[in-house]
Amino acid sequence: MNFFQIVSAAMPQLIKGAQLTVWYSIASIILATVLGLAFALLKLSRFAILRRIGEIYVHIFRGLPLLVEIFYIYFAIPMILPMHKWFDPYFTPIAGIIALALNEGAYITEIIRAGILAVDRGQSEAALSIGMTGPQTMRFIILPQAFKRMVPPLVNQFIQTIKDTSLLSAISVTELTRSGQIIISTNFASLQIWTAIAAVYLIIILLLTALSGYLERRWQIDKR
Amino acid sequence: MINVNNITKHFGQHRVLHDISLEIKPQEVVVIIGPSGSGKSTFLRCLNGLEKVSDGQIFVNNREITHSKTNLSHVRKEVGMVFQRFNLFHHLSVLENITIGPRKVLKVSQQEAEKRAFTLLEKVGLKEKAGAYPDQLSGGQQQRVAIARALAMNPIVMLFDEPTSALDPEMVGEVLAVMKDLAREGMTMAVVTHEMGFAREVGDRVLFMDDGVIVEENTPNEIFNNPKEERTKLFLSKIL
Ligand SMILES: Nc1ncnc2c1ncn2[C@@H]1O[C@H](COP(=O)(O)OP(=O)(O)O)[C@@H](O)[C@H]1O
Ligand SMILES: [Mg+2]
Repeated sequence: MNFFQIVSAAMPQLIKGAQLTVWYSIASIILATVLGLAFALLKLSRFAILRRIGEIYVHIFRGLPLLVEIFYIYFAIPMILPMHKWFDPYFTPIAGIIALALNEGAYITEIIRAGILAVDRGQSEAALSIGMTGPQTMRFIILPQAFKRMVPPLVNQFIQTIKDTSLLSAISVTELTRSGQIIISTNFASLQIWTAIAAVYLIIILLLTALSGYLERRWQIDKR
Repeated sequence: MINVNNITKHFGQHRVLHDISLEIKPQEVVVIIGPSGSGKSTFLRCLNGLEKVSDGQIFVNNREITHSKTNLSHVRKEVGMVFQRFNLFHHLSVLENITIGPRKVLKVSQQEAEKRAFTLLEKVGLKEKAGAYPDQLSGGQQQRVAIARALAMNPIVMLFDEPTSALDPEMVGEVLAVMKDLAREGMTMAVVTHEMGFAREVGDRVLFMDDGVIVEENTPNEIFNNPKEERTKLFLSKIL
């Protein structure tokens, strides 16, 4: 069998894996964005304890290797909390998504915080002075302006997330990397399959980069 | 309308306002002048609670805004503020800048808010700019939109903090014209400005502030032609 025959035979399985990679990425980035927004607001709170909670979260989840976080949630936590029973049979994907989201969320916390701080203070003063409350000011005035600045670093983070899902292979989630490993264990075609895996990752990331470039240009034109 | 009783303001150790008292009556136009750093902006910002006073009381329409239980956003609905740097919302069109306050704060319908916004835009001469974004406007146009945005809340008093200081000279007139109209219509106003022509024409009273205190207070004519205090004379000799 030549290179193309090997790869095309493996393709259906790799595509399935790639779909899982994309779904895990999307699910974890959504959860991570929610976490990031919540902890960014904590870090910007006027109450010292809340700021402290935000800081601790970022320190822990940005400080540890992602693989350790994944193992901790998948292997260690169930020793004290029977999560694997509650979520059976979906514990593996759930643990994977939670681990990814907690890790990405720490980075996104910093992205959102920086985006909010970059908005001129005059904007919130103007909003307050027409009678908006603090939350209204955040929602209608600060966040929409912060969001536009946050798009490029958020896209970077999303790309990082896609790459990080490969670590879920270590807890037997059959995403793209794990699917490849399974194929290689039967056909032993390491060179061909790893090349195909690398190509699929690159294609996903190129598509995402193109999409984000398009979105950025559109927003720039619509709203200056 | 506004009563200020012996307010003091510190930033850390730095005393910025010292024992200031003032009454602004309905329909009065009070002009505040003074050197840079004398505390004019801080004073104005205390009047709508953007800065907290260290001591003393401020009443707006008989409501004590310096009381810790007062809901400041209720007070600020009634107190319009116009900033030196305009501070229009960059992500919103001119029309949206004007309607967002009425819609989100006063819960007015979009249709009603837009109707009123167009009336105000007409008043400040910018009806054709409703769809533009702030960055597409000149400084003078932005400041006129900012005035319309404040007026959209139907304030009982308007505060202006050096509204023409950031403008190119040829745009100062168009903003002052809008402010003069407002004054003639009977709006209660507190205006920090160095535009002496404006002060003479529509000011009922001029306060000269220096180093956190009101040094002298009088009618425009008296202050400009017959200042009593040495510090006032010195300041006026530099700017007139
Ligand atoms: N947020 C702040 N923190 C510390 N000092 C401030 C702050 N705002 C103003 N000041 C100080 O208060 C003084 C008065 O400032 P300001 O009210 O802006 O004066 P003016 O408007 O008359 O130029 C200045 O010395 C200024 O440095
Ligand atoms: Mg000032």
